[in-house]
Amino acid sequence: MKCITDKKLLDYLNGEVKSKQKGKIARHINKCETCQRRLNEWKNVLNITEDLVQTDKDSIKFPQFDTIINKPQIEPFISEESSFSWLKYWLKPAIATAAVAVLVLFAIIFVPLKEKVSVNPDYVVFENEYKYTEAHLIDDEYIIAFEQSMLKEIYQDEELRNKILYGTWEYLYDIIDLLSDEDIKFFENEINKTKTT
Amino acid sequence: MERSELNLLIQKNYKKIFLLSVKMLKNYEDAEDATQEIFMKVYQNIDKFKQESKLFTWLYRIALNHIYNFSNKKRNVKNLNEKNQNFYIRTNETPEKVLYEKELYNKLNEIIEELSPKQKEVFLLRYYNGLKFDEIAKILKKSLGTIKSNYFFAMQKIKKELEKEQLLETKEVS
Ligand SMILES: [Zn+2]
Repeated sequence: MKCITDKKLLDYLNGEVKSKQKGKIARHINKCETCQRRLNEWKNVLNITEDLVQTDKDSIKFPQFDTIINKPQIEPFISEESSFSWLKYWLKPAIATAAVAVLVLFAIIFVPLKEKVSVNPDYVVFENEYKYTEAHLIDDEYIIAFEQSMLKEIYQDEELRNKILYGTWEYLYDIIDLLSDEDIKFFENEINKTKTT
Repeated sequence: MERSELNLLIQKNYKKIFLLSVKMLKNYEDAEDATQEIFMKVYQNIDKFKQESKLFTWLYRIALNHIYNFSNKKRNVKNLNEKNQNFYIRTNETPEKVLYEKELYNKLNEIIEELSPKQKEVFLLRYYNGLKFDEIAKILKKSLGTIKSNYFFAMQKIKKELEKEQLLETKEVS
């Protein structure tokens, strides 16, 4: 067995590997001094990090719960109890249905435009990750579409594909960021196939 | 969704949300404001809460969303000076040990600042909020593999920096 990657070592220490793999890794570490040393290094890093985070957390003074919750802006929301909530209950689906109908109509009319309609976005993703400047709202569908398009691009680019399949693992980590769990599994399988043949 | 249930959720999580705000915004006053506004938003949007996502996942999503918008609007004028922050000292330790720990502590805070936003987000949620990887994945709507990669890159950076400063050797492995 080849030496264990840093990423696997970290997963191992965090209890994030399956029991089958766990045994394999443990057996290798027992035999390999290099991996033993590397494992201890990572153990050290994790210990120090956890210690420091605890120290940092201890030094933070938390505001009282009352000061957070009893601010004048919040109170109305706590005490507000609508007597027409049953109406909301029925009205909401009706409005939603109407909205969907309008959207569908819209979609039929403007199909050639292929405009993407975002539904209930509730998470912000940043285009420029170093600056938190341009934020836009996206939804699950968008993320999936994006990941799929990335995968397609990787597929179509032969050089890139070969680098992933026959290159080093380190290179893979740059791309893994963009892939879903299934995609990663697929690539791992492909790599294992090429290794065994 | 019962209001009492919501109140309980807020009571249980306000420290965690405050902690996240402090680490992201690096300013106590801003963090307090942001935490308040987050819970206000939660009350306002409770009918948008989709039952299929866990309430706590939803809370974190609102929180992160708000913190990012907050830091967008308000470039912190008064940054919390990490070096002057109260440093927690354990009394039964030698001055050398205290100094060493303080150095480590400052270094870690520096490194956290240098992480990419994605890495920082995962690091804070993992270590400061004590969340599991699959919980983080759900909150950020990313695959588990992506979250673990972000975490790995963050830890790799931390390890490299600590090695560069030779802060790793003095501490023994337990
Ligand atoms: Zn080895």
